[in-house]
Amino acid sequence: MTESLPRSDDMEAAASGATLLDVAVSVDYFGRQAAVREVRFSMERGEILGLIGESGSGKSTLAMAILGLLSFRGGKARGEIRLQGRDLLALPEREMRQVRGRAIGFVPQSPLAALNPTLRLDGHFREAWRAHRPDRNGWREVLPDLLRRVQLPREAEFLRQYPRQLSVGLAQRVLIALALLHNPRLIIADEPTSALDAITQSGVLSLLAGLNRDLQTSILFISHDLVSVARLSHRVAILLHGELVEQGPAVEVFGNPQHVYTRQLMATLLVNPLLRR
Amino acid sequence: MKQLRIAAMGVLVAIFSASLAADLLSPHPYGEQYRDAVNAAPSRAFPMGTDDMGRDRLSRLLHACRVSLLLAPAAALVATTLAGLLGGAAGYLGGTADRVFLRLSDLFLSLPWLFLFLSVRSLLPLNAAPAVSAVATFLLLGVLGWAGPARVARACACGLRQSDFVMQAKANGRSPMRLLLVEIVRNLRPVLAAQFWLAIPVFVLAEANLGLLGLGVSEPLPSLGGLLRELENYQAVVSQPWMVAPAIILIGVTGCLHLVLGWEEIRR
Amino acid sequence: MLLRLNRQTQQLEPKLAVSWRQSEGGKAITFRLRDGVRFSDGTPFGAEDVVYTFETMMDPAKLSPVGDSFRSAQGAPQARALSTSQVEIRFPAPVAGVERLFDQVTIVSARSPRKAMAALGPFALKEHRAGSYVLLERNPNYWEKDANGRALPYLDAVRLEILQNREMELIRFRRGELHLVNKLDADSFARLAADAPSAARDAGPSLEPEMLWFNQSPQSPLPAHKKAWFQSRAFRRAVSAAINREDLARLVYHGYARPAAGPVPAANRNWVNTSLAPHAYNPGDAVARLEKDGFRLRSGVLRDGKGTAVEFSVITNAGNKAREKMAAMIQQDLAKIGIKLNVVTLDFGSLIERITKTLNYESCLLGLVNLDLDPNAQMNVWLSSGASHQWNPAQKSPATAWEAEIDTWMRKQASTTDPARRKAAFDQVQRIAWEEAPFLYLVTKNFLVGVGPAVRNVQPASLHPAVFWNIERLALAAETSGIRP
Ligand SMILES: Nc1ncnc2c1ncn2[C@@H]1O[C@H](COP(=O)(O)OP(=O)(O)O)[C@@H](O)[C@H]1O
Ligand SMILES: [Mg+2]
Repeated sequence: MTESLPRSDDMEAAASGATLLDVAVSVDYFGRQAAVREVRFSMERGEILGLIGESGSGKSTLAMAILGLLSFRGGKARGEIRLQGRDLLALPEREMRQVRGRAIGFVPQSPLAALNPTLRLDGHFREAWRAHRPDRNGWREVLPDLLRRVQLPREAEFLRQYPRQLSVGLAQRVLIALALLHNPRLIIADEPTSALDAITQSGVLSLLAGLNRDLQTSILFISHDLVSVARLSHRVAILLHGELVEQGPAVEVFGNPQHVYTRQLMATLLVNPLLRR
Repeated sequence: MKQLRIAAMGVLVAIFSASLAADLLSPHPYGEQYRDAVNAAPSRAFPMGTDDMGRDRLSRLLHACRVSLLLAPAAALVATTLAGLLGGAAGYLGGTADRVFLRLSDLFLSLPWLFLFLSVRSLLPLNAAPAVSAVATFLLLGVLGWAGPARVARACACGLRQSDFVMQAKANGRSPMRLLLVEIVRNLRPVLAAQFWLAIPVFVLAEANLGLLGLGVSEPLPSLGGLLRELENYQAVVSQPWMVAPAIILIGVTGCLHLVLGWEEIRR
Repeated sequence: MLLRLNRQTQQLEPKLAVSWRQSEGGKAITFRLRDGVRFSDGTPFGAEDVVYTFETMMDPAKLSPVGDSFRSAQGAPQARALSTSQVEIRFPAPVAGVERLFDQVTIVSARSPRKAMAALGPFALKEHRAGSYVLLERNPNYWEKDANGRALPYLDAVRLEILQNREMELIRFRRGELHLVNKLDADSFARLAADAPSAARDAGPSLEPEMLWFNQSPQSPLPAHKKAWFQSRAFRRAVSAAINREDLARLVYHGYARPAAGPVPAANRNWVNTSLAPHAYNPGDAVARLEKDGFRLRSGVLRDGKGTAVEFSVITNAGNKAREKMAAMIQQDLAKIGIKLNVVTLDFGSLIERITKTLNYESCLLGLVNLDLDPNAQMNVWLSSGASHQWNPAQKSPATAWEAEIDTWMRKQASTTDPARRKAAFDQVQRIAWEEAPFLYLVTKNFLVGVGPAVRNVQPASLHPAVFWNIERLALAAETSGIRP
């Protein structure tokens, strides 16, 4: 069922033959210039790109820039962000809103805080559905498949719960389901596992890997945890103080780190993460 | 806690049903002047005595409750709804919208709105029924009363605007209107509810003050505010202590409403 | 002031003028001024000050209301100094009773560097905070002495407090913070009388009748059938007969008022037409009058000849408790004869707007403030062309025969200086007003004042300013203790 939903921009993308995402941006915040400096990278269809960087290096800033949400944080992006050839930075807000949630899904860092405390779970799905679909109740049809995919209970009682009644792990699965609702090309997951305990973390990582495998959904996987990135990503990019210092296939970067910083990062680990793949 | 809530519920039901059934329960017409029995003490004929024009206090109290206890919450609802929408929107949108909001609410809080009440009264037809002017008065109180609660709502909305779930909702591509209603205003509800309970006695008293200027509910229709005005005369209160009944009712109703609905809020 | 109206005797007494004389049939008046008088700043007082004051007052740009009362259709009067101590004022035509107006004229110095701040009266202005208080200090140069030769005034300073809140006024008076209260409303007075009887002084009937009138103006936007009701004498008299004035006086004013008969309250001893009694309360008579006029009272509802139920509104100024109560009582009185009365309280501004400009009202309940005893002060009210001819103002020619008759009598009383003939003419005006009832006079309030126990020599009068009209003789007892309830 989920597979059969038409993906927006599929035809266009096929025609242009462009890469999925092409980024070349700098970001200034009000009161903090150049939080991100001339960061360039691109992603292909079906690819998982791991974005690594310590806290404050500009990872979330990049994610917000791609989603066009910087302005709400007092930031401004310069440059180009092309999604299947379309420059998102040039899009008017009305059209950008169509991209968010529909072409790009977003999975946040703290799942419990990212759910509206006054809204039951079904309300979240209803609202997310209404954002892009005129039919009010279509979500009820896609939901069972979606819940099964993210391994959430499908009972009506579950959906009648309020967010505060959920565990962090369940909440994160709900957010992944919400991100998948419109079957987007790309999912941006901003440290989706850092709030989770090791076992839950592992479950979520497998879930993301499964999505990528089954649905060909590209994932921009943001983390400061080298191990998770190494486990999931096809390619990795290393962000330091707002600049990309190194990027390439995971095997290359972890196998033969070029930049001093990457080497330092690797040194903090007891075991080369590649060995755990 | 539970018993207290049930007791409060009972009090409310009693007061509201008594005021709805005012016509049935009143021993006398609320406007009838028994001119040979002014300022009478409670008796079988006048269970709560009479006022300075010889009108039965009990009948007036029942009708006053009907006027004030139905209209003041209605006005409070209007005010808090406006407050939620305007304050919520300002806090959520920020920037220019917020600055305009702050100016506007400043203006609303500082302008002497009395002139509006004056002109509304003079715009109503002279022979308009007292009930019409009562509704108009409370409606206007509601429409003008948004600024205070809206400030509170805005402050909370400012906090919500930075919250993760609002960001998440934006990342879902929700429309600004739905965002405002579902993410902001919904989460303002506890704050707005508090403002709502605060507004009820405020509006009842505001009506009393308007009445001092002859702008409130017009004679001979009684209102709680109108009856409260009599308490100004403290000597009379000392000699006729049953005059404080309207004040007790007002405090009681506000308190009970708070108990009953406050509990609801916690449970949810 | 040159002359003062003694509020008790209602006679004029000499002040800065030691004597005065009218001549040329009332066209001129000559004052002989007191010698050796100085302003509070030491500047000597003389005829030129009187001339200067008069000229300033008559300057149309100054818009002085007292100046307006001196002016007549024929023009403005002229003042001229005959010597340093004699002034003559000439009028283009004789003005009846003009000398009493000098009670209201404060003489201003022509030469003093302090201008209007230099005072001739017992007190001089020291400080004035608008809307809050006026502080007066003793004028050391005041000329008057008491019987023992002691210079007046007795008091060193007087503070006039302007209080917005009646409750506050009463509380402060009872704490002894205020020595005198110039005017108490009946509610406060009744309370004061209950626990400090010696402080509550009833100065007797005032000059201020409360009244109700119908809008009879043909230009008003009222529907024709209502205009017809209001223009009917039978209707007006019926409404008048249906109002229980005794109840109004008893319940609204706690008995400190009495039913009113006409425009001149009994307090105005020289002018009242004593043959007129208040319209009697008689609902039966009211219905009879209405039925004769084509109205029908059926199952508790009064209908006019065309079957329209009689319902009208009365406007009164908001915030005046007594008027609101009277309106509520009249409402019940009229309900007895099948009339539905709607009470509308308006702010003073919109009320005045309605009764003077838009004429969009049906009836109005207001009081009349009479500062002046003389009928000439009421010219504007009674002449059909007058702006204050409330029931149908500023008519080009009198709408009714009786209004024409009033015009005639009013002009007659104004054109002579013979007191007896003036009184006879004004009696006629009062009689017609009683019969036709353009104003339904309701009650005359008593002038109620509060006098602290420490204050001596107070002679409360029912004319403004009731408690301190003889301010130069007021004194405080040595031990000034407040009144404690
Ligand atoms: N709203 C903001 N205004 C100003 N500076 C900000 C804002 N948000 C983030 N920054 C700054 O930008 C830099 C990058 O932040 P962020 O993208 O949140 O880092 P990360 O997600 O990698 O931890 C940090 O130095 C942070 O202080
Ligand atoms: Mg971050």
